[in-house]
Amino acid sequence: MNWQSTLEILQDNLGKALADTFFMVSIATVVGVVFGTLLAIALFLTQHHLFSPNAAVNNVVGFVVNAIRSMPFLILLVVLIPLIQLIIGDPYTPLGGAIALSIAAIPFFARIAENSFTEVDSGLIEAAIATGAPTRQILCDAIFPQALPSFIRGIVLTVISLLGYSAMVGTIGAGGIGDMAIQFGYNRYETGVLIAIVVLLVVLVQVIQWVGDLIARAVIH
Amino acid sequence: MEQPAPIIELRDICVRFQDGKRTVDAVKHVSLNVRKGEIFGIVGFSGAGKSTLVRTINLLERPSEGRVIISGRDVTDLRGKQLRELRRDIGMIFQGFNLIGNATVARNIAFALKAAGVPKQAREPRIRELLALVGLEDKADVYPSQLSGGQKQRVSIARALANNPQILLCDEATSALDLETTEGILSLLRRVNRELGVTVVFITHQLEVAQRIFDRVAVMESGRIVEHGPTFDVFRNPQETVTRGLIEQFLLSYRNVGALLSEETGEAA
Ligand SMILES: Nc1ncnc2c1ncn2[C@@H]1O[C@H](COP(=O)(O)OP(=O)(O)OP(=O)(O)O)[C@@H](O)[C@H]1O
Ligand SMILES: [Mg+2]
Repeated sequence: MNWQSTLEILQDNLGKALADTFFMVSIATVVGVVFGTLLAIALFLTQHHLFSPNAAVNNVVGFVVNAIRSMPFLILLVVLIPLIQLIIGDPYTPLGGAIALSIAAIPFFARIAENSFTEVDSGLIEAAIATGAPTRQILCDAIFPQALPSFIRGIVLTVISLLGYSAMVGTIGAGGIGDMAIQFGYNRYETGVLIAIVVLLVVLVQVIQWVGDLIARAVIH
Repeated sequence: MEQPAPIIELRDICVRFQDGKRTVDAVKHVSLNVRKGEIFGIVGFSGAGKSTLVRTINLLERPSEGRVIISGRDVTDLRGKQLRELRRDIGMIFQGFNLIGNATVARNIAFALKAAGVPKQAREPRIRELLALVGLEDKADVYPSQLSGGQKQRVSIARALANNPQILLCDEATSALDLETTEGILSLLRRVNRELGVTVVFITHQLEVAQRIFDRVAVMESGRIVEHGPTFDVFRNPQETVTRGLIEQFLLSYRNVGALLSEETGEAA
């Protein structure tokens, strides 16, 4: 192992790789949380007997969500490549990676958010309905604040999973630290680079988890 | 004696649940009238169908058969906006209080006001008024987890009364509270009934509560009302086995905590 070259590679590539990973993961998180939450609301409302029970809609949305979730990410990625190519041209870029990650993130987060909604005490929901409040108000002012801590934990879980997926996106050359690990650590036998990236990932995940737990705890009363 | 018109009229109500393959008849052909301004009680053992019956009044449970008539108007089939308007006129409190844990006392009450379209600037004075009514003036900015059970129930009463409802439904509202706290909540409810003229429908399996505040009482067993009438008459001269069972259970607990209950317990009847 050559420390000199390891350091040089890290210096030259790590910044860009981290930036790409950050770009992909943050876009996918935002897209996943926004659209996943919308799907979760649809799933929640259509299965709840006091809102708008609708087995047909619930089954269709549930099926689509499950279908995407049941695909291993690598396979989903391969399936998506032609589609991404159609949309943005070159799929082997951070933007291409971000799109693939986003599509995986939506159903992933949808189930998480649905869970945090269904965990809300049904008595509270009944009390809210009994006040005569419209559904939208019940969602925004009663269910959502109550689900917030578990919702935040769900976001943390999503970010960490996406970080893992983003490394897989790297294997097809879309950039990021996964890409870097493959290019240098694997293809060019730079074990030092590989170790550095592994350590970095471990630290990153710990920090994200720690910050997420802090926030989740801060919003509980 | 002249009979005031019923404010709540349940006509031949049935509620059936589909529990997997099994059909549960939770309420079977119940008819009953609640008079304006009274405190009407429903007692019965667990599983008798009390909650299910009372929940048909604000249509949290839609009856499988029968009609719900509120102030002379058939509301059974109301939906959407009209149903929400009806619910604003019927407050409800629960055994578990059911407050929004992640919102302050003030915001819990504001929730009901917002539901009725009360503009933001009008909410705060109304919240203060309601907190004064329930004796929690200094708790506006506190979270429910910092309150005792009795205080939580007071907040939920304030929330239920926020929009000046005509009717207050209480589902085991004191069952999670100790005797002393129960007494406080009961006298608050009696005040709400007498001073604000709110008609109260109160479910309980605690006879000590029943005899304290009910004007009239209905006894439920397996989905049916088996006996009803003025509280004093029903309990002095029980006709049904269930009623006797409830009284026996009460007397047993009375003997156990005898020292805590004084002679004045007969007063409410
Ligand atoms: N959503 C439901 N699905 C299926 N069965 C139900 C449902 N709700 C209530 N039941 C059943 O209906 C019956 C009456 O229940 P209900 O809650 O009205 O009784 P209760 O008199 O209020 O009892 P408790 O004193 O325990 O609150 C019970 O057998 C209960 O299991
Ligand atoms: Mg009950």
